[in-house]
Amino acid sequence: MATKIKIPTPLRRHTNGLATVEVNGGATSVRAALTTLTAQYPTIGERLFDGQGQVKSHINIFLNNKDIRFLNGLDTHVRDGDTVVLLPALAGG
Amino acid sequence: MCRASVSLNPIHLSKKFLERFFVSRAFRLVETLCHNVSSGRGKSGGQEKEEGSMSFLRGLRCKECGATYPAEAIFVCDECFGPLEAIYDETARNAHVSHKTIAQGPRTLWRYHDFLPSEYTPRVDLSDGWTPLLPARNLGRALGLRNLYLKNDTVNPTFSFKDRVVSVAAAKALELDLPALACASTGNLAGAVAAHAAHAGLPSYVFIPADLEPAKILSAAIYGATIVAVQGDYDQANRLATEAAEEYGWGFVNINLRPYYAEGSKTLAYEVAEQLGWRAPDRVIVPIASGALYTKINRGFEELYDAHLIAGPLPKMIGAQAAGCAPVANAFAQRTREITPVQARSIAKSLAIGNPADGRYALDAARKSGGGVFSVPESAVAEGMALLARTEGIFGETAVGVTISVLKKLTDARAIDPDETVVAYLTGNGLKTREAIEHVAHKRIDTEPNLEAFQRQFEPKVFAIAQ
Repeated sequence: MATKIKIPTPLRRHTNGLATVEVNGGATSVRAALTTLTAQYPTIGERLFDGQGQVKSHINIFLNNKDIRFLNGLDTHVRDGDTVVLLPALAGG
Repeated sequence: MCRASVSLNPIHLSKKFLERFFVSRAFRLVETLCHNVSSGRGKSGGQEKEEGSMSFLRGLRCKECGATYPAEAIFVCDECFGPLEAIYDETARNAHVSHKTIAQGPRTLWRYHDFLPSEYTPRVDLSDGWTPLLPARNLGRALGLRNLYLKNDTVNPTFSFKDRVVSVAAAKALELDLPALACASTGNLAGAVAAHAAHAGLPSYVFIPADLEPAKILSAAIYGATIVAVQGDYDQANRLATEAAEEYGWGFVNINLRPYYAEGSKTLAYEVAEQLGWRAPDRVIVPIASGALYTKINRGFEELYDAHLIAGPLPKMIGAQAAGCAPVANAFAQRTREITPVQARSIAKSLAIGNPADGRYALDAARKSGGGVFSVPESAVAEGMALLARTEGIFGETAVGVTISVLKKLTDARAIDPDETVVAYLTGNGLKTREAIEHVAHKRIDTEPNLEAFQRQFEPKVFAIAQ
C-alpha cells in the first residue's frame, strides 16, 4: 500500500530535499503514515508534533484535499494511492 | 540585502531622494537617512541600512519559536513551521518619529512609512488609506453611544481596506525584484492586487474558486490580471496558490509576502489615533476572518504607545464574526486557548475562514486588552448593513454588517459605557455584496405616469378626504 506524503519546501531539508515521500506497506491511518515518515526522517517529527504527540496547531494536514480535522484526525483511514499533504496554516484574502 | 558600506555623501543622498520622494520632504529625508545609518551601525545583530532605505525593518522573526530570518519573500519558519512576522529597529524608529514627522507625510497610509516594512515608491501608490473618520451621531443616538466614530475604508481605491496591505506588499515585491504579484482570494484582495499590479506595471495572477460571483471576477479581470479559476473551494484555491508560490517565485501578497502585507493593517490604528488628535479610542470593533487585521490594529496602537505618540490606556479590542463562521468567537465564549476549526457557511463570505491562521493571537489580544470576540446570527448581518446605511449614509459590505451588528449586540446588553469613544472599522464597500441585501424591505412606490395615480399611492388619506 503506497501512500504519498507531499512535503512543503521549508521541511524538505529534513527529507533529503524530497518533495514527495512514498510510505510503503501497512499504513492504515494518517498517524501510521506519519510515523513511518518520521522513522525514515527523524528530524521532521520535531517540526510536526509537539511534546504530547499532537500535531502542532499551525500545521494543516490534508488527505486527498480534505483537512483531516474534518475527517477523523490522525486516525483517518488511508488507502492505497492516497495523498497526504502537509501545509502551514493558511490565511485569508 | 546587507551592504558592507553606505555612502554618507549628503549631496549624493539628497539627489537620490529627490528622485524618489516629494520635493518638500527631501531635506528631512536626508536627515533621517543619516540618523538611520548612524543608529544602525555598531549595534550587535543589527543590519546596516541599505543606501536609500527609509525602512526601519530589521528582518523577519518566527512568532512561535523566535528564530530570525533576513527580509526575503518567505513566510514560514524553517525550524518549527510557524508564521513569520516583520521586526523593526524600534529604538531607532521611536527616537526618530514624532507627531510632526508624521504630519509632514503624504495624505495616504505612507505617512506612516517609518512603521512599515517596505520602501515607498509611487509605483504602488493609488492614494491608499488616510480614509475618513466620521462621527456617527445618528447611529450613536440609536445605540446609546455619545462618541461613536466610523473609520470608513469603503472608499479606498478598490473599495476595501485590502488596498493598504497590497500597497505595502507590492512595494516589497518591487524591492525584491519579483516578476509578478499574485494572491488567492474570494473578492476584495483580488481587485486590490490586480489594480496595484497594473499601476506598478507588473503582471498579476489571481487564484479564485471557479464559482466565484461573476461581478467579483470581473472586478479583478478588468485590471488585466490573469484569473486562475480553480475547480474547488477557496481553501483549495489557497492551497494551489501556496504550491504555485514555491514553484514560480511570484509575489503572493497573502502567502510568501504575508509578513509584509500584514503590516499594512497597522495603519488603520495609526490613522484613527492621529485623526482623534493623537489619542487612543476606548474601544474598537474589528471584523475577524484570519484574525490578521484585528491583531495588527492592536499592534498598531501598541507601537504608538511604545513610541510615546499616544498615552494609555490602549483600546479594548472587540472582534466581530457571523455565526456561520465564528471559530474565534466560539473559543472566546468557551474560554479556551485553542481554536477549533469550523466549516465556513456564512453570508459574510469575506470572513469565511474556518481555520484562522491568527486566531490564537486574536484571542490573546482580546483577553489582554479587556475586550472580546463575539458573533451574531446570520440574519443580523443584512440588518447591520441596513442600520448603518439608513442612519449614516454609508453602504458597507457584509463584514461591515457583522461589525455593526456586534456593536449593537454589546450596546443592547449595556456592555459599553455611553461616554466611551468607540470606533467601528468599516472594511469594505457594500456594492461588492449586493446580494446580501436583496431581500431587505425598502420603500417603493409603483405608479402609472400621472400625478393622480401617484397621489393615490402616496397620499391615500388626503385623496380620500378630497373625494
